[in-house]
Amino acid sequence: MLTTIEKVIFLQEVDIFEQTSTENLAQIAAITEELQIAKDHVIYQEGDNSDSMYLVVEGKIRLHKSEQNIMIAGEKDAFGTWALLDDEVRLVSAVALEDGTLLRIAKDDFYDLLADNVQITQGIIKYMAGKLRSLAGRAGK
Amino acid sequence: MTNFIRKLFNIREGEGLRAVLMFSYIFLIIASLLIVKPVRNSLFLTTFGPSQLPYAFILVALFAAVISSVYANFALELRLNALIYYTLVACIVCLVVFWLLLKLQFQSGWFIYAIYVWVAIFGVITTSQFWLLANYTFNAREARRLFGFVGSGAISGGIFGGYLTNYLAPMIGTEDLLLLCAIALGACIFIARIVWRQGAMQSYQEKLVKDEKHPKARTPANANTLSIIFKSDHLKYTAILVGIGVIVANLVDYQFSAIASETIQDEDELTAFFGFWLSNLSITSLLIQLFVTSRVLKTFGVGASLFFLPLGILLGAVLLLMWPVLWAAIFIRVSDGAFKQSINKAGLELLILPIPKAVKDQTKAFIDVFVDSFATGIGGVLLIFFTTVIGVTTGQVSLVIIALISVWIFTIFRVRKEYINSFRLAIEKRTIEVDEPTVSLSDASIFESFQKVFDGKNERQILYVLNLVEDMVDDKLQPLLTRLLRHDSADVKAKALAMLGGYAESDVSEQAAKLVHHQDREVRVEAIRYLCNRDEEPSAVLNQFLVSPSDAVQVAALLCAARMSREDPGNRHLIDFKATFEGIWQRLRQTDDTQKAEYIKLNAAMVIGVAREANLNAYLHILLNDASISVIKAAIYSAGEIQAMEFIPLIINNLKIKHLRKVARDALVQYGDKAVEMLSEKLGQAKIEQSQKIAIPRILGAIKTQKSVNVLLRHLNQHDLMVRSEVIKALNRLKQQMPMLKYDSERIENHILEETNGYYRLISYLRAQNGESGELHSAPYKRARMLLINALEERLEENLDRIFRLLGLRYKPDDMFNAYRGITSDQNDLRANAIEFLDNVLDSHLKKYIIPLVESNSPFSLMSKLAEQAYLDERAKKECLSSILDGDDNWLKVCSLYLIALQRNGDCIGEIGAHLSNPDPMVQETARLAMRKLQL
Repeated sequence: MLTTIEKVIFLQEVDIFEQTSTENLAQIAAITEELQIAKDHVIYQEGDNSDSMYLVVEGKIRLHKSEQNIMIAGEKDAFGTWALLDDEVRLVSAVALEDGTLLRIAKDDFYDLLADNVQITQGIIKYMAGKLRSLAGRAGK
Repeated sequence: MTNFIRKLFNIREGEGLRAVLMFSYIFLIIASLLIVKPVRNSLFLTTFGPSQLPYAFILVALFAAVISSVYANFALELRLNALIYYTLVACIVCLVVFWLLLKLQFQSGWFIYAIYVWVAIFGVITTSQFWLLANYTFNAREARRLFGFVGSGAISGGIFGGYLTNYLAPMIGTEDLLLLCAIALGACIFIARIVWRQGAMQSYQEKLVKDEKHPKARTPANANTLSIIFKSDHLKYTAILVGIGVIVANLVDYQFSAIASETIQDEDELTAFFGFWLSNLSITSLLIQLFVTSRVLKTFGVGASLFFLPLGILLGAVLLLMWPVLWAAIFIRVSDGAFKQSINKAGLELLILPIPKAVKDQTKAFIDVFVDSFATGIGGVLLIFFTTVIGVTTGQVSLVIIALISVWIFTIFRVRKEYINSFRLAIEKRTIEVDEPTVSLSDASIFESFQKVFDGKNERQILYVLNLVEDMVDDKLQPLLTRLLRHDSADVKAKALAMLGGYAESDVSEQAAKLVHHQDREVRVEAIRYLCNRDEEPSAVLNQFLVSPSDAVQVAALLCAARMSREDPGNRHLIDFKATFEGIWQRLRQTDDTQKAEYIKLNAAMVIGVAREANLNAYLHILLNDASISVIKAAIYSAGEIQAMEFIPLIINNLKIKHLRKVARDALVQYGDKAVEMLSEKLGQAKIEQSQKIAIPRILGAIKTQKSVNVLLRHLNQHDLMVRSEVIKALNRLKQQMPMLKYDSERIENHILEETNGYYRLISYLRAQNGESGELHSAPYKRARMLLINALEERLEENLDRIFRLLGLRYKPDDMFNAYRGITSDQNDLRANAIEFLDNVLDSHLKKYIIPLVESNSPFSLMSKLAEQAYLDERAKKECLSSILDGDDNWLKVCSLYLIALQRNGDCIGEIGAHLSNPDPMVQETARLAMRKLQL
């Protein structure tokens, strides 16, 4: 089992939290749930309710829509992130390609944390704004 | 007697003292004005005769323009209470000097002119200050009800002052009357002070903050305002009306003064004469206001009301032209004064009602000051031209007046058309403020517009108009309100029912009885209230509904009883709240339906909050401990309404529950000062949850009192950095919103120095971590060290933020915020400017620590600089990790413990052991991890 500080070390390198302070990462770490998954384990399926996001600590996860691969999420990758932002059902399925470890952040816990800590919200908004800016920049080229 | 006055003027609980004080204030101001005016007139006329009056008019116009701009500058610099104080003191000094010089028989020409001009300006400034103070003393709703009562102080003062002059002038002499005014103004100073403390100060500060947050466009240059006026026909004609009115008033005043001074030669008798007729004028004005104004407005509307003044003067002018004697002069002067202060004033106020507030704010002052002064000057020039150059007699001045009145009447026809168009537009766009005190149904065209809205389907527009006319009872409105009971919207129904309660003659009990079973609670409550008000025994009506088989009706009856008892303590006997609640609890015990139980409990909590009956508090205690979050929320809300001390600890405890935090915070803010000490006690306790602690400074920051500031300052030494930051932020908010409260500079400076020391300590830790080579270590170790460095850098940023926030408490907040932005900017010129600014502003003992801190481009350059100056704590530099573990910062402890774990340095095992029982779970967890790693 990872301790909170070990989770923080890991979360530091996750894109979506790159603008979040280390102390606030500790608060996020506190609401994560560590999951040990076996190869071929189905984490969620297309059409499932979106209630959490996942971070890959170890292992590889295949994200696919029907038979078409969308992406392979490796170490430090986040997937199912949009679940935190909207109430739509899952658009893809997620299956473990090998044994591994995931961190799961439940949507409700995450929103409670955001409600209590405006700095975390600011950090995530900053990250999103940066992403949009770079997308807009790319579209402009 | 007190109750009679309260009922007559609709003065509610808590408003009596303010209303009486403001009544006395304006009474004394206007009484003084009505004493000094006759004194001035008689002095001037006996010294110079009427031929010099036109020059005095021109001088008044010129000085009014100059002094109003000088005064406007003072008004920007000084707070309103100081402005009033200095103005009144200056007026008293002037009056005493005038009295002294007159006693010494000093009758130099310029001195008499000075008194003439001074009285004109005194009148304008003191009355405008009074209305400004009144606007801060009463909120808009109160103003709507109480300005009638307060304004009657002005009329009574006018009558009293004039008659007093008439009685005393022949007895004690004209000069000594000035001393009487000085004493009256002295009393005004004390009244203004009490009024200021009674609530005007708070709303004034709130207004200052609001203005600062949403700065209005700077008062535009006159040219800009002029262009706005010229672009709008409505405003243009209004300005012309005001201008012509002022010119004609000057001509009338000239005729009256000239004929009076020719007829009465003795100075004291002349003073008495002016005093007597000014009082009679006030009485006539009052009678017209009471018996004519509203009838004219109701029957004919704004347009017709504007004709009375010019037609009254026209009649007087014709009489004076034919018989230029004293009685005709009195007639024209009384016609002018009496109609101007009553029916014409009401008409003009209604005339500008449909103009959007922003435009009105911008142009009204311009019309009142500039147009008035300009027209006064024109009046003087016209008089000089006709009386001196052409040589017309006093009686023949009437010909000029008649010519001007023809233009006046033409303008009224034009403005009437514009007014109706503007009003229709204003209702459509909802640009009239709901709290506008001048909205009145008495104008026929206004009523017609309202009627159209009520006939329509637009719910928002109907509610808007209902809010506009909420406090008015007018027979014409009643059938419209009755029709609204059939409207689809529950809000419209409830509002109409509430308003229909004010109409004793009409009866909609049948409709109300049906609406008692309406699905909307507010409609049910208003229906029951209506039926109670109609019945001779409201208690029987309420009790009948309280035993209704429907829970919804019972709840509405209970809520209705609570509201009635809250609004009028005389209604407390209507129901036995205690027995009713016992009945409710009985039923709650018997029911298995949890949904029904929750519904009853929620409403019971609400009723307790509204009723504010001390004997129901025990039930609120039960509800505060209920299992349902919704019930607890409602109970906390009600506790905030009741503000009983016994609930404070319970509410504070609920701050730790996420879903209850907001409602608990709001309730505690409502308690205000009463909750401050208990909140302080809780904030001082070491063993309470951080989330609960963090909420407390926020609450204290919203309680805008000195007590709250003092408590927050006492808690600046919080060990938990997050709580400390919240304490500082709360103080920043208070300083922004309540700059007039006292912020202990010495205490703040001490904390600035402590934070600065903290900053240097963090720098020394950073230096130690950066100075260490990590090349030989493993990747996890490097990551752990990087985490500690990141955490230290974040702490540095937070520390700098706290230093500048504290500086914002010691100096001007905006200056310090701008300096902080400059210091943290990437642009060198901004940084340099900020440093230069701080160098000039900060006191030397603070500068010594702050300037080196902000002068460095980065913490690292500061490190080397400070190392040379031996600022750095050597022990901390050498024993960085031990130092952090000894400190208060739990997050840095966690990072350090992790680093120690990965260093595998057995020397620190003792320090790690000490943290195995740390109360912070994360420190404890990391200490265990470190211990495991070291023991491997």
